[in-house]
Amino acid sequence: MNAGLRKFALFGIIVVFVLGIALWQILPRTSEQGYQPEQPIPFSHKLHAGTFKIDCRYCHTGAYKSANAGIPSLSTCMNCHSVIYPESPWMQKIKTAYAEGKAIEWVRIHELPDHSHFNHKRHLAKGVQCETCHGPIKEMDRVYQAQPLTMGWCLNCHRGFETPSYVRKNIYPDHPDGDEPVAPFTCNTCHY
Amino acid sequence: MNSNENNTESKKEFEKPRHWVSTEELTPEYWANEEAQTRRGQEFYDKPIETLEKIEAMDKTGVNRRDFLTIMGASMAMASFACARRPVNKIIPYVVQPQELTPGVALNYASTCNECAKGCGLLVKTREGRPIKLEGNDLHPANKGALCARGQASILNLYDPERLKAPFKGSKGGSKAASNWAEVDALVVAALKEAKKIRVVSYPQSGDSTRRILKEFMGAFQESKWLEVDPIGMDDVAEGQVESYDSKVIPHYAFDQAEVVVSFSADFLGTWGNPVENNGLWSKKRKLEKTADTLSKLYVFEANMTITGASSDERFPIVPGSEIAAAMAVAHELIVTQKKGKFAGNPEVLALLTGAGSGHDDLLAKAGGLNQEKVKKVAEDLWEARGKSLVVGSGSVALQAVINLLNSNLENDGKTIDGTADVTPYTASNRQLAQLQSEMEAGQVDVLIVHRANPVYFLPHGAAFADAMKKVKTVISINDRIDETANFADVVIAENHYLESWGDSHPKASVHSLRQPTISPLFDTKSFEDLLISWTRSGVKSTGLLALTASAPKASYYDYVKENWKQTLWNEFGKGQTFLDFWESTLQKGVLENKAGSSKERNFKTGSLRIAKDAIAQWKTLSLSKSKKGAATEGSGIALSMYPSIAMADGASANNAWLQEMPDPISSITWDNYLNVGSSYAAELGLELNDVVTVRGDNGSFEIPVNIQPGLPKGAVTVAVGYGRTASGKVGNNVGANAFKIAKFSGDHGLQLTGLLVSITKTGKRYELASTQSHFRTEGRPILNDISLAEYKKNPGAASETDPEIRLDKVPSLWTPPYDYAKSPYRWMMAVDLNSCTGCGACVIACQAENNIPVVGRDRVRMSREMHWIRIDRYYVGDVDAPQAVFQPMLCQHCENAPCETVCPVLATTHNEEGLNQMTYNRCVGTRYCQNNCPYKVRRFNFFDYWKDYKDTMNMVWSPDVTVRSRGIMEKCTFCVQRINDGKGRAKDRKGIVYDGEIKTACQQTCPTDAIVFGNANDPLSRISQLKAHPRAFRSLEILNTKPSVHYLTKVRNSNGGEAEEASHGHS
Repeated sequence: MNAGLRKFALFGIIVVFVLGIALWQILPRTSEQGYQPEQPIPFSHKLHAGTFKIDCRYCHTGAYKSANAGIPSLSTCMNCHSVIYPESPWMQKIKTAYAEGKAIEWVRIHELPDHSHFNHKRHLAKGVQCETCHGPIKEMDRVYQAQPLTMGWCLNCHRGFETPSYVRKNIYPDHPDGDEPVAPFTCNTCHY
Repeated sequence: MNSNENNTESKKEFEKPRHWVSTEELTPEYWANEEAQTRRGQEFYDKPIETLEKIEAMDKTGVNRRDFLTIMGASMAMASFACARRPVNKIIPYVVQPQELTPGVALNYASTCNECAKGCGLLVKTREGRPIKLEGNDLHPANKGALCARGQASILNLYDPERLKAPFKGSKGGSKAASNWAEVDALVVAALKEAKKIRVVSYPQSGDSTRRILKEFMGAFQESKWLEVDPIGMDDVAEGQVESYDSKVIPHYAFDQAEVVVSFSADFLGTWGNPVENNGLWSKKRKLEKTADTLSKLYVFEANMTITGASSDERFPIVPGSEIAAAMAVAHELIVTQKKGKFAGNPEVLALLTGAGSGHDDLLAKAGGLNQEKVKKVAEDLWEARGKSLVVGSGSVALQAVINLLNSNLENDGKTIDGTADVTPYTASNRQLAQLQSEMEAGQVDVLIVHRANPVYFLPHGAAFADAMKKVKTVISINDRIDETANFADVVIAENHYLESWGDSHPKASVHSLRQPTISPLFDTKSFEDLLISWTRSGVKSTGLLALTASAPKASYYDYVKENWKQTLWNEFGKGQTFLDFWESTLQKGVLENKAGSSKERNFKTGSLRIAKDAIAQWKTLSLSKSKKGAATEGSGIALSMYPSIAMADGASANNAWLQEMPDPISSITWDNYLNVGSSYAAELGLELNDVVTVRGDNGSFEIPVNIQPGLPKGAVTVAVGYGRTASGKVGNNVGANAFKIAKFSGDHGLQLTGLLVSITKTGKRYELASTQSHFRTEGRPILNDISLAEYKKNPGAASETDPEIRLDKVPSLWTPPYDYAKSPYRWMMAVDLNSCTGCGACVIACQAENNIPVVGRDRVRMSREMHWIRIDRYYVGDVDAPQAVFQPMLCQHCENAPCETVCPVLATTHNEEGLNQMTYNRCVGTRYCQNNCPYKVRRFNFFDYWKDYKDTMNMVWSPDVTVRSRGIMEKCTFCVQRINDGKGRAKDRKGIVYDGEIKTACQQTCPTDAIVFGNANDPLSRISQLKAHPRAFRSLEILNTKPSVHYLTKVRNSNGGEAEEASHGHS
């Protein structure tokens, strides 16, 4: 192989490598796993759900009756915080917002594309725990997206490949060691 | 047709198709035409390059092709960058979440529709406090859960971004500027305080509370009068009732009791009376669920081709205005010739039915040459079914007198016609507008309040009316937009949409329904009744409950309605209940139904026939010989009839794009009105489809394109009113021509829309009507069946094979089913009864509302790009000049062997174990192979991001349960899979399976005739299982072995022999 060709090949490899890196940077991500934005109020799930063991559904009331789990309204915060720790500057912010009737705009972390329909209620009805999809939420000071929330990840559970054993036990109490699908996986289970 | 006659050879060989879509299909030339063949055979309706050329031509100011590609490239690159990090989205929770509300769960409220005055019961589906879908209220006795297309579409009016966002003030006919309530109220109150003589013009109001508050408001003025006007109302019926029975009511017509129905131009299935109720009642006698069931019979004499005529068993095309002659001919035959009924011996009746110009033959001739034998048969059938027959008509008071005579003579009054018990007084009348105009011209009116009425638009001399309005001291318009009439007001008051207001409705004696707001006003608007209260509070004198309500500082119209119900209805119907219980339970149900008592037979005043006799004496037989071959000239008397179209009606909702784009059930034309001319007559006049003509009447003229409409007689043309609005908004302005311009109006006769003599002149211009008729043709394949009753009785299963040669069970299948459907708990299927379907089009709009289907606009409809998931195919049957029609709702057939699935290269369309053909939007790459391969042509492609055309508030109408589709992907009917998933969820909650009828698709839910049945075919007891085994059941294009999940039930016609029976095999 002559030197010119070798040089050309080397150049080619570098170009491909650089383009690859660039494309990896540019192309859309399929997953937002690890996304941990700053919130307008540093609400700590670790403190509320972890230390104080407040039930998730106390605030996320929609989880067991609706497709949407729901973000608590300010009045839910005020239920406790009208008396607990009211002097905190963050609580002052909430109090002002509550008095003015202006909602707090939280930054959305877990978000599916519009063409996928996820239903919290159906998953809770089968006994799926919040942590299975939302990660160790009771240890999170600032919430991040713990799971990929991609279609492949959804299907791995639905088809029974990586179904958590406690979920399988809920669904097939007679034979918890099988490998059959645990949930429907036809397209319009989610896409319509 | 003409060339057909010339060429005897091709005539011999050519067999006309039994079902045809347009007249050209009846000629051998069409089938031999190379260009047409190519077009039918090619992959897409328009070749891509033609499409681009069309787009370029269409949108000259817009983007040309090269720019388009440049922009596309740039936007692709930018889109990639933008996606690298997902945009930050916010979640904004409630400050205080309403207790009854859970985000993600729909709440339904019972209310009452106010799109027209019929007041059908509603269930308003709301999500997070915004209405997203209207459905009929099952508990309402009139509409019984169904709604019409207009009712379904009225939700879009709520979100119309062109509604007034604040009150306006300005000069009459001049410019108007946005104002505020304080300023406007001060102006109005000052005017009202000084006013002595006031006039209120409004759309008919059926609510007791509205009627009461308005009367109390007017009661304090020295002189006041309230005019209710409806240009397409039933003034003629009510006045006919006054003439014949001395009671101004619209009777209740029991179509469900009638074995023989005769209609003289009354389109009771489309636009006459309460069509939702009429459809429901009439179809009860058309079901043929069991082979032994009988079928009612419908005779229609009509000038226009309507869906009532299309669904009739026998249809007689007559010239507009000659309904009176046809009705007289039937009466003459029955009473004079056959001497039947109690008036047969009545000398006064006999004298009025006979005499000069009313001989039997004269009458037949005046009606355009009716066949004596057929009229005899009609009279005989009517007499046979006396007490169980029904005669209805629309046109003139004189016609009503004859109809009343017929009904009384046939003992129908008090039986199938209830004019005494379950009715309310009819209060509207257009003729009063003439008096109002002269009063205004004389400067006698101090204040004119116009509420939801548009006389400047619908009066033929609207300009004169507007000039008269200028002589009124203060004109107050209460409206949701500055329309043609509001333009001549001093103050335009921004009114709520009915979904934002309280109210009630009392359309019949037995029905009281409540209207509750389901959203707080989107803009700075108020309800009409609340305005009256606030004006009273500001010092305008008033009386009664209004004064009382206004004296309470915070009371609103809600308190008024409640108090009115307490004072009147609670006393009567709330026995043993506290008022709060009574009120809340009624509010929850939406409607209060009570027994109306039984109807009594009324005394027919024979003297009322005198107007009929006068009318028939004045009626001249049209001299058809005058119209020469070639271009028609002025003076050739052509009779014109105007009709309200199903979508547009009186034109009040012209700014509603859903209604504009709804194909007319008969002509399949969208976005325009047009002059209908019969096929043979058009050939005689030298007119072709899309020729623009000038129609000249006594009062004026307008230009309009021609539509060749089979079924219209010679000497007749028809045109829809409700178009040609100039002040409705961006969508509705200048769509079509305003036909009201050449109507006749007088204080004696009111607004006369039919039997007008006009002349037609060809302008030489051409205009392409956006018709969906030629889209998605079947290429002559057998797609549906119809059969005569006699044949059906002989062999109920005769028509259930679409092609007698090839039976499905004899065709070897290359396919192995992907699933064993019997193993799944559900197998979703649908049955559509062609016998019940009247083509009203409600399902089209219901589907549009439910499934976020966009509108594409006139230009794209012309390119065959309409997006409706369900369409109503209309196939003509029979003679080109007097055809009948079969309607076939066509939607995704969810084939077991789906041709679309096998050609998709990316598996975007697949089957599931419940038999659904799934469309996965996110997988679709837009090859359109599936659309090409679908034999039913039910797949729709998004050529653009149509949702971007939805501006501002219009975006609130999207249902969050259904993906809003973006550019470049295919979509189609999903069997309302969001409803299926919802229903399955509910079944899982109770640990059972979905019960029959629990899940209704949007089209099924709104169908007034119950023609669509959806359900689980794996449940042997379900209705769908029974219907698919029905002898009338067939599957469309069965010959292709696609195994559709949709079963159609053959149309059975109760015909008297002749054409239909002759071709009784019924294959197209």
